[in-house]
Amino acid sequence: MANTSTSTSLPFAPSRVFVHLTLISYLLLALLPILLVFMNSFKSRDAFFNDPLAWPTPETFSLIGYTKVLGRSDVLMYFGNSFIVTIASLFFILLFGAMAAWGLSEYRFKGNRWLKFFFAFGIMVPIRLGTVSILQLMVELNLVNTLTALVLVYVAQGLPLAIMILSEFMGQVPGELKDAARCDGIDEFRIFFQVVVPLIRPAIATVAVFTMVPIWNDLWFPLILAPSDKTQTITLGIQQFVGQYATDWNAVLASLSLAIVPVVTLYALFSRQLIRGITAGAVK
Amino acid sequence: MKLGFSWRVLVFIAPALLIYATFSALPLIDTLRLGLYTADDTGARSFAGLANYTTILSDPQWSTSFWNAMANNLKFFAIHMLVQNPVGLLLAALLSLRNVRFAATYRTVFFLPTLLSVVIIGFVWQLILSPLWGVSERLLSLVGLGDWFAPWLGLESSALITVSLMSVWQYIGVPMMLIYAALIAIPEDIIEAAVVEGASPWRIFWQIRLPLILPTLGLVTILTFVANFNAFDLIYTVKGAVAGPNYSTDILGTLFYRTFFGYQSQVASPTMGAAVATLMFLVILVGVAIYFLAVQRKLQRFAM
Amino acid sequence: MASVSLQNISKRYGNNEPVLHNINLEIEHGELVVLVGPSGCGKSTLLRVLCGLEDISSGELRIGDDLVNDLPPAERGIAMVFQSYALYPHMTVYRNMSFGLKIHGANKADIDKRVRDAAKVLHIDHLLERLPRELSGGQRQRVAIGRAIVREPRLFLFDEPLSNLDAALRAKTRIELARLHRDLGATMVYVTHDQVEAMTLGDKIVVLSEGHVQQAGTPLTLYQQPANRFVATFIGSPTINLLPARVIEVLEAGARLQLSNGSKVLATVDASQLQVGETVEVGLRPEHCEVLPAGVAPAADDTALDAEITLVEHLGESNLLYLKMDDGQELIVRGDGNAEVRLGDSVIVRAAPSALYLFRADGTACTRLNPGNMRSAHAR
Repeated sequence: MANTSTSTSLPFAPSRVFVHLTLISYLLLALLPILLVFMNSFKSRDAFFNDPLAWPTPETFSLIGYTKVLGRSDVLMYFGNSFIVTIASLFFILLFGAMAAWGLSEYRFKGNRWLKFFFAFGIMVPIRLGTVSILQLMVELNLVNTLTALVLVYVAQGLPLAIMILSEFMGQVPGELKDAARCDGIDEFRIFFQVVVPLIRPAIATVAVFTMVPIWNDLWFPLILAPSDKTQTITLGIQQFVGQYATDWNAVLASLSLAIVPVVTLYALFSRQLIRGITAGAVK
Repeated sequence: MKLGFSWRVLVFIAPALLIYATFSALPLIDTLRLGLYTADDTGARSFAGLANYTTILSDPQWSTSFWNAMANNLKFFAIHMLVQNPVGLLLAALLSLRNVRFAATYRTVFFLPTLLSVVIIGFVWQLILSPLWGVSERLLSLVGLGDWFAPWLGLESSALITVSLMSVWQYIGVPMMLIYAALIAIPEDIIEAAVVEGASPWRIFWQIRLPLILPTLGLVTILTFVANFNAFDLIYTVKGAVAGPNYSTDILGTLFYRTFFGYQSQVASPTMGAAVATLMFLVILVGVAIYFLAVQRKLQRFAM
Repeated sequence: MASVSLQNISKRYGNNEPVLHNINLEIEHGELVVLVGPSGCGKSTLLRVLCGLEDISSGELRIGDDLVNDLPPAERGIAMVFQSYALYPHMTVYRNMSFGLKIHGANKADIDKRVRDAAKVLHIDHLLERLPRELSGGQRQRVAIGRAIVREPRLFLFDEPLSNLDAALRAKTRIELARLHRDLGATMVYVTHDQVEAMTLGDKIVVLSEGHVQQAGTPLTLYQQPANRFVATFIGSPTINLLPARVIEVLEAGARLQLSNGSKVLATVDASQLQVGETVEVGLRPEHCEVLPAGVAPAADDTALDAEITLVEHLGESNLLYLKMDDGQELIVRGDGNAEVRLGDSVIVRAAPSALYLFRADGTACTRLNPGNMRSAHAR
């Protein structure tokens, strides 16, 4: 099973063949489903039934799936909704999270510990369990079927982890920097925004990544709080679309591909930062 | 650290506290409270103590579904622990070896499914496993296992396992990354010292690396636990809220949804839904409590 | 214990420049050999090659009579003490020390005896049930040494073991290591960048620079007869003074040289290879000169240089005098701590002919004909 090596010389490493064989097998397992869907979304219906494993050829190539999807559903609007909700949530999570992290880690006051514990609780306990009451609250506030409801909930959901990670990093900002600034008479808000925040950029990036993905991919809250046609996010939109057009394979494949493309593209562009962020922040 | 409580501290903390309390903490507490009420046909609510809970746990109309969902959720968790974490460990161990070419590429690709929406994953696999499309059948016959194929998702006996494996396929990136990070944090000279003392790669893995990443394995376990007992999206996408066939894929999350919103023959009941949510909360709480106790006692991060 | 023989050992990574060039070295049974040199000279690489953590690109390595080029570390009969100790964080001191023995299948009673004996010698027997993180730096280092001792290896390897300790502890531990070597009679190879450690501990010192052996020999040999300019400047603190000069006369047992400021000096070295007019460097160790008040006439053959004191560092038992000659050339002289010297004093720096070193333009040294530590005042 898993052997490990320490030096460049072969006697200490498990067989190179084993290592690469295992890794490649899993690579195929990870990629194949996605590739299959993507490939076949560009084929005509008969073509992918007959020979699903083949690449689209000039004869079999067809965009019919895509035209159906773009024609029958408001895919672009769904993308827009997801975009707005994700970016807005991210902004507030980072802003309020950093401020709270600063307030909790920098200043000593009574109840500091309890507040930290209060927030930490939210990391382990899923917010979904309170949905019954959240929905009631949204009804009372007249926020059902609005993007605002989603933003509020996601911010509440993302704050605990953001605060924990950010306060860890803030704790590492050298005390002398802050003290020097205070000696110069700079006020606390300035210190926060202009000295501390720029120094913890890697932490902010890590938090952004950790938070963005679950928000973008979430099904539960859009389903429960904002299922109206105008406010559907892309995740919900795809789910409804596929549920509705279940047997219209072209459309289904095309819609899935459309949902995959933006994530894969962004990932391809930012994968190095993302993985660096996760491996750095995760060990804490 | 600066001493003293000033209005500034309030300004810093207030927005986060407000939103978190209003939309996360208080609703949770309120749900716990709501579970103690019952509603009659007019919708009027009255205090009912633990009546809802006794109903769910012992009234056959409710308890069969509840315990079924509970058992399924445990199986769901078991499969993740048996497949996701060991495979994640294997991949992380292989990737952390020195001089593996393309390690970065492998890492990047392995993490990709985790980024995709569960909705996408659910549908993609549904398509692939679908007997109508025949892709999986064809792929299996390529390796000579064509006879193995069955419409696993549609069979009561295999549906839960199939869905669990789909979830594993998606999430394996997370334990893999966490374990990978822990493995590369082990100082190289400790491994070299073991090599100089004559330890084989096998022994090094079991007696040096594994003990040193035990805290991370603990973390992975509790994260898996919380995620599994909170799961909903995948089952809903693949099997709908009714979690068939014949409730064989019903887990606590889907039970909660059905109870709360009602579904077909079942009438919506916020109070019962709240009770189910509370029970879920208790299960998760127990798991988290055990984790923290274990962390305090045994698994300590060693100063390296 | 075993002897070690390195023949033409070279190491390169891939197709890059070699990091070790044709190293030849013989280590006697029971010797403590110190590999010393500046960072990047290859000493740690050489140690790792001896250990088996790096492979050999060409050449032969023998431990005892065995050719060990292709043997993994565990089969070479060696034990290594790492710079950062590399203790297993999750194991008690006892387990750390017994780990290697257990792998080789020794029986429990045997292991227990060996561990406890070693622990006693190193004064860590009361720490056997502790974890590494509960120990101080010095204690951890002893555990690392203990781990090596219990294996009763033929060869001990030490990778800068004292560099992570504070100064006071370093001096104390150095003495203990010397004692350990004496008691065990073990063959040891020790890497350090600190020449004081090298001089005090080594039976033999090997000075390395950029992957080449500059010189191997006893501490005294390296001090008195450095093979080249590099070794002369590396060994000895403060660094030897080097004065550019020209050969003006070649004698049977020496050479006369003219310095850049015009003064003439006599060096008792083997001048047989020198040419008149050749550019050379005269070496003068700070501890081999003395400072005389201006106006005092030195003996005929002695070196006498006019200089002015620019800085005095009082060390208690001695002074370090920083001087400048009239052409700007700077010198350091170690003087008597009781002497009264002041900034700005004009003095004469005096040294006997036998105290001088001489280096040719390519860096090689001329053999000194009458070496031996001397205070110039007594060597007439």
